[in-house]
Order: sequence, then C-alpha cells, then structure tokens
Amino acid sequence: MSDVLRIVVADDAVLLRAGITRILEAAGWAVTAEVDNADDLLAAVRRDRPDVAIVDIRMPPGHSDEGIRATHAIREEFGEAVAVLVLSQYLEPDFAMRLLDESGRGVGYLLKDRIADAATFTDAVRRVAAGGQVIDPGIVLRLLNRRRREDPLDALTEREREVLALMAEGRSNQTIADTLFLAPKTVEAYISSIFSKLALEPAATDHRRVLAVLAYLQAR
Amino acid sequence: MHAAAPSIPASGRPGAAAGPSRATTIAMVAAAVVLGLVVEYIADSWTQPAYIPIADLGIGWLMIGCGLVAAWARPAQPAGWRLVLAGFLWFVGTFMGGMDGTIERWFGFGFGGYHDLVLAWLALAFPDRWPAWRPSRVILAVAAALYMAQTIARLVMFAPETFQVTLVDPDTAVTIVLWLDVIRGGAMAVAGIVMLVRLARAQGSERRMLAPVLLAGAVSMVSAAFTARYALTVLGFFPDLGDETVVPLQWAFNVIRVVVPLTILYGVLRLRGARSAMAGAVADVGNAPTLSALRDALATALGDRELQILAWDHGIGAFRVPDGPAVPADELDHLEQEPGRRVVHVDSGGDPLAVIVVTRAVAEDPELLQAGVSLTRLVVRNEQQAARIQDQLVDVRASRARIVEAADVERRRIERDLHDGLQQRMVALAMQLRAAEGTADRDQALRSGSAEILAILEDVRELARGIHPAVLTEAGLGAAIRAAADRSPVPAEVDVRLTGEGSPAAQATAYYVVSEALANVAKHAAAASGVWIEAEDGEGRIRVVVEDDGPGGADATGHGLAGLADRVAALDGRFSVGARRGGGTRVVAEVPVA
Repeated sequence: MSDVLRIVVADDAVLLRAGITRILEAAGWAVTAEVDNADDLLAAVRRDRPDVAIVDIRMPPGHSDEGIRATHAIREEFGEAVAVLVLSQYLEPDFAMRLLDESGRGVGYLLKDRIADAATFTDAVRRVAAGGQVIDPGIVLRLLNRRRREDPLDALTEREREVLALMAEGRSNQTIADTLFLAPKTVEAYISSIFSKLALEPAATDHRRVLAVLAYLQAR
Repeated sequence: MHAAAPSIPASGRPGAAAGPSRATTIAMVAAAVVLGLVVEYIADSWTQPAYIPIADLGIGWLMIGCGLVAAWARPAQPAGWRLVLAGFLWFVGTFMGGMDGTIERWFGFGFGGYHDLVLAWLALAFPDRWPAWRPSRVILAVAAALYMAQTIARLVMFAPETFQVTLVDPDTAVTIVLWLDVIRGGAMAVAGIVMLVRLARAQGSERRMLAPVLLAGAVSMVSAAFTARYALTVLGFFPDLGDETVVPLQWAFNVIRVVVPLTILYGVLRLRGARSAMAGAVADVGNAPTLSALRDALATALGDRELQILAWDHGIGAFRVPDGPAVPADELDHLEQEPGRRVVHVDSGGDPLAVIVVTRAVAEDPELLQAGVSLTRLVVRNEQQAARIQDQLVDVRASRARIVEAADVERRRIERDLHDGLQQRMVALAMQLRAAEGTADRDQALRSGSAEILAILEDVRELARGIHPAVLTEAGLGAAIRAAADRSPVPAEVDVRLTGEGSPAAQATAYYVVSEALANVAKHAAAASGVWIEAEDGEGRIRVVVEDDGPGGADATGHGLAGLADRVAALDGRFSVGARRGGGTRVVAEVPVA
C-alpha cells in the first residue's frame, strides 16, 4: 500500500461530499471518485480499486441502509483489499455489529458529525486503511450508559471502564496505553481483569475482540 | 262445552295456511246447489208462491258463497267456514214449517234454526275460534245448551207415530216446547246484546275490526229471537200480529239475512285492511325512522292512542322512553299485569331491542301485531345504529381536532426551538467569528466556533429525533425501540419480535407509543425499578406493550397519552392504558400494519 491512499466517496449530500473530499485531499490522499448512490459506488470501486471507500448509510433510492448493503457487496467482491468506512446520521449498535461480524477487518462505523473534526476523521480513515476497526465513541458511550438492573459493569473500576470503552472503539493495546498514559503491560492487566470480571472469553485476535466486547455490551 | 282458553287464530300470513282447494270449492258449491234443490223439492216448495223457494235458496246459497270467499281470502280465519256451515244448516230449516208426520218434517222441526246458533258462535268469537270475553262464552254456552235441549224435546215429544214415546200428555209437551222456544229466543236476544256491549267496549282498531261482524251478528240475533214470537203469542204474552204485519216483517228479516253474510264477508276481508293501515305506518315512518315517529305511526295504525314504545338502552341495561328516563324492571312488570294492556317484547337474535305496550285487543290480532313488531325491530335497529355512528362521529371529530391541535403545538415547539435555540446560537457564533476577523485570536476563535457548531449539530439531531427519528428510517422499528430504551433513565428490558412488517405510519405510531410511554415512566414513575418493552408483529398488526413497576395510576386522558390514543385510533388501532398486575402501569397498543 502506497502512502497516498486512493479513496472513493459515496454520499448523496453534495456539500458534505465536497467537504469530505477537501479534508482527504488536505491529508495528501487522492479521491478517485465521488458518487451519490450505491450502484455508482460499486462501479467506481470496480474501476478504481481504491484503498478505502467512504460510504453514507442512507442513499438513494431507498434512503435506508443502502450503504450497509453496498459494503457487503464490496466485501464479497474484493475481500479486505478495499477498506470501508461507513458514515451515519444516527448510530445503531446493530449496524456496527453487522459490519464487524460480516466484514471483519478494515471496516469502520462513524457518526457523520465526526467529519467536522478533521484529525479524528483522517485518523479513522488511516486506521481502516491499515486493516483496523473503528467504532464511533458515541455507540460505545450509548452502550456503556445504558441503564440496567444488576449491571455487571458496576463491578468495573473507573479505569477499567475507560479501557473497555477504548477496546470497544477498536483501539489497539498500544493506542490505549498511549491515550491513557499507561504502560502496555498495565493495559494488558486491566484487559484481563475486565474479561474475567465480565466472564468473557479472551478473544484470539484484536478484531474479534471488538466484536466480542460490543456484543457483550449490546446483549447486556 | 269448549276449552275456556281464548285461542288466537293461527298466523294469518299469506301462505301460512291454504284456502279451500279448487276441488273442495267445487264440491261445496255442487253440494249447496244439489242439496238446496233437493230440499226444496222434498219440501214441496215449488207448489208455493215462487218467492218462497227463491228466498230460501238465495239466502242459503249466499251464506255458503260468502263463506267460501271469506275462507279463500283468509284461510286462517274460522268465520268463513262457519258461514258455510250456517248456509247448509239454513236448508234444514226449510222443513220447519208445519208438522205433517213425515220424517223430514220431524227432523226439520228438531234441527231447524241452528244456523242462528252458528252465526252467534261466529260473531261472539270473532275473530277467534272461541270467544275470549267471559259474557260471550257464557251466553254462547247457554244458547248452545238451549238449542240442544229444544232439539231433544222436539225430537222426543213430536216423533212420528211409528216410534213415538209418550212421556207427557200432548198439551204439556206443547207447553214445554213453547217455553223452550221462548227461553231460547231470549238467550239469542241476550247474545245480540252481548255482541253490542262487546262492540261498545272495544276501542280504536279493535272496534273498527269487530264492527261489521258484531253488528251483523246482533241483527241476526234479533231475527233469531223473533222466531219465538209465535210461541209467545200462543202462550198469550204477545198479541197475534196479523199477516199484514208479519209478512212485511218476514221480508225485512229476509233482507237482513241477505245483508248479514255480505257484511260478515266484508268484516273478514277488512282484516286485510288492518295490514294496509300498517303499510301506511311503514310509509310514515320511512320518511323519518325515529322512535317517536314510529310510536305515532303505530298508534294510528293500531288505533291505540296509549301505545308506548320503550327502547332498550345498552348503556344502562334497561328499557327507556325515547329521549326520556329509564323504565325500571318492576314498572315493566306492573305494566304487564295491567288488565287490558299487554307488553310485547321485540328481540333481535335474543337481544332485547324494545317493548311495545298496547291494548290487549291489538295484541290479540297476531297478524297486525307481527307487522308492528317487525316495523319496530327495523326502526329500533336503525335508531341504535344511527346513535352508534353519531357517537363514533363525535369521537372522531374530537380526536381529529386534538390531532390538529397536537400538530400545531408540536409545530410551535419546533419553531420555538429553532428560533430561541439554534438561531440565537448561530447568530452569536457568526458575530463571534466576525469579531475575530484579522485579530490575533483568530485560531482560538475558529476552534471554539467549530466546537460550538458541533454542539449546535447535537441540538439539531435532538430536534430531528423529536420530529422523526433517523434510526426508524435507517434501521427500523426494533432498532428505534432499542435506542429509545437505551436512553431511558429507568432500566429498560426490550423483547422485540418484529419481522419489519407495517407501513411507515404504523411503525412510527408504534414507535411513538413506546417512546411516549418511556417518557411518562421517566416523568411519573422514576421510582420504578424497571420498564419492560415488548414489540411483536403478525396477524396484520404491530403490538407494543410497555410496563413499569412504578406507582401506577397513569391518567389515560393526560396530554401525552391522549395524543397517543388519537394517533393509534387514526390508524384504526387499539390503545389502552391500565394497571399492571403487581403494581405499575401497562400501556398496550395494536396498530394494523396497512
């Protein structure tokens, strides 16, 4: 993968699409195509073989979950060679989990508003392009703040909750350590403590871990 | 001599009973013709002045003919056949004149005059088989007994010599027979008076129905009584009228005997006229099918000004006067026991519809009553349905007004939020950025400006969710319900079994029920330890249930819940707010998917 990411942008809102393109180009990447519907998106991906496709969930003609279905189509055709970052007006944990479950690595699910914060947005693009997973902090916050009778999360310390949230957002142990100013060893200790307190099977890989944590939070 | 119970003729509906068949009619006519001619021949009437056999035959044949027509027109009505019987008995009387020792004269002497007894029976009982009124029954029984006594006395004491038995000396026998004749004549006079009294006592349609037959009967009784004149004269109680008086009288009675069958026929045929009166009632009520119009029309048709109709009121479970108070059950019982009145129940498939309170006379004309009951059933059902539709219309109008008002309130809220919130903040932001132009704090101002824009964006999102949540469009009802549950400050458990069925309007309505119910729990039942949400679809509807274990006592007419009820009702769904078993509130809504 070259340093210059090649990106296709699919969004039916012209202004937003232009804004996204400007941010991506400002980051030094190339936007090979801008489209406003799912069919054109698939055509552009076939033609351009981009590194990343940035996809709005809600697009013509149905204005419901076209973006999610386009993502599956891309995954079926190109596997993990094309990373996908899905943008949504609204955060839906089910969508996040469908994405992670069916698409594995190199996928992200972000609230559209995050685009306004160029650094966060480009970071997310970079992470999915590198095969990582990005889950919007808003989803994690919503799941963590969900009120439950006899909540197992009550057993976690404040620090453990912070680590859990970052895990759920798809952060690596190193990033968690950097974010919280902790030693990687300490982060690992927190993680194993969390897993044992929540009676979760330790996940084999990082990307399985995100799904496991989200699924746990969702099912709680 | 007969069952005392008044019997109502079998249903007089057309087709319920067949009239005399063609064969019967021909046989009757032939029998009448042959019998008449044979009788006149045996009686040797042809040797007498011509008017005698002609009057004899004419009167007998007229009675039989009128009787057959009446029986054909009103098969269930016994009067026709009685008239036929009276006609045949009339011929027996041909042999009454003079005793010449022959068998036929003896027979005629014994059985003559029975046609008057049959006419008495006909008129006293009319329109039934047997008289219902006690005086009628008594006088009929007395008259019949006297006729039989007279027959036995005459047959025994005036038998032809070959088998004559002498019980008493001839003078005594004559005296007995004469006295019996006087008593029988008196009884017939009383029967005539009873008929007139019965007619005078009747009112309205009953009087109109009875008048022709009872008047004809009463006149017949006069002629029947007059046959005792000879006995009275012989016994010395009555002057011997000369031929110059008797012959015109005989002719007058012959005229009466012609008029009587025709009048009875008219009276029987007029029973159909009662049905025409009912047709008039139907026409009247048809113009304005209300209970009061029905009452007036039936009162006119049945000739009973006191007629009352009480309609069943489902709401209070009692009969009530139209637009008036309820009638307690005991008062109805009291009405039922009132002599001369009868309470007729009108049902529909076993459910009470109304009662008609009528004079007993009307109630004993089953055909007329049946028509009245049918008409009442139609009108009351119509009235009930109209009332139900009116109620629904009132509800729908109120709910429509509330929906419009709720939409207005909502629009005003959105306008206020946009104006007072977003617009102000954006104006402030624009001023802030403008002020930072060209200053050293430019970068700082841009940063805080974009942060403020994101905060504004969050507000916009909140506002939009209040109008129509994006999640409903993007991810469907289940996800939207879960999202609403996730926002609930009271721990919420969600059980969603949805296939995604349902129009956008149905899904949105189901969503708003859950979302508003959750908001109510947060507001009024914050002490609840949990709220349980169920959503399922199938069988053409979406069903959502929201239960909490809070203090309960939710007011279904409260603003939010009433709005929900209207929304659900607008889609033809069902909505209820009630108590949850074990405490708390339970909100259930069912919305048709289409």
